[in-house]
Amino acid sequence: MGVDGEYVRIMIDITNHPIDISKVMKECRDESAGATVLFSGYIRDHNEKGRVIGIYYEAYVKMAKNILMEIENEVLKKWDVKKFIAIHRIGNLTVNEISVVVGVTTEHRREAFEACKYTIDSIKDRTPIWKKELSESGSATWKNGLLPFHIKRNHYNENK
Amino acid sequence: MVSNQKVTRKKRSAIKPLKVKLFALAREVSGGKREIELEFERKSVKITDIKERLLQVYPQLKRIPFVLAVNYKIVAERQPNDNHVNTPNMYTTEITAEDEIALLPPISGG
Repeated sequence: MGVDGEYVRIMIDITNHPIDISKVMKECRDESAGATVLFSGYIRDHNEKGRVIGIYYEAYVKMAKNILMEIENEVLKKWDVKKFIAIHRIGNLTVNEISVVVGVTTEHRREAFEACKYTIDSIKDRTPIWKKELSESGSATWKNGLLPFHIKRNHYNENK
Repeated sequence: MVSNQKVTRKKRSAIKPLKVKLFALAREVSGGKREIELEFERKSVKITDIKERLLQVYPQLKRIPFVLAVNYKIVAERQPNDNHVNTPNMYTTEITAEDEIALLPPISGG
């Protein structure tokens, strides 16, 4: 499937399990390609209001998987991608854990950077996932977000 | 959408209760259930009827923005056009008990 029969879908997932980025990097390898860009999003120890000790992620799993596949298909149309991985974690995560990973392998670096950015921006724009931040004081607050309007990005370098 | 359940469906005056999935803040302000049921007397239910009923039963939802999704697709508020051929429409798409309806508050993944 995919571009010229060369492309093989490896992984799109919404998972409860910790994400192993060295495994993701290994799975992104393709001997015909010279560039892999990997983006990983982490839980940081603060937000605008103060210290954060963890985040609870919730997803509309079936729809989120559909959207990840839709984003993957858009990426395959725009760039000659050899390997593509997009995984989002759900459940209770603590500081320093990985919440999301995107790995893209292409022949040269420029395409890999562009496709990786397009993917993570699209995940944030339209994948039905919600985060609740847990503060040091014990309060838990759903993060203010954007409505998941069905936007297809026309170009990769929007200032976001 | 083709459904095997259609064979066993009986004639009736009202449709089966419609289930609506609730997420995140929208679920919490509406009592905490992941799925709620809405009953309608009439046979033809549009998405706008569901939205209206949700706001009637859970007026707390009026204070948060949300969109509805039907069968994993975001509902369009406007009339369908060429760019939105496969998009469910608020005023024209008819809903049955086989459809999966979800209420999505603003997202914050990543």
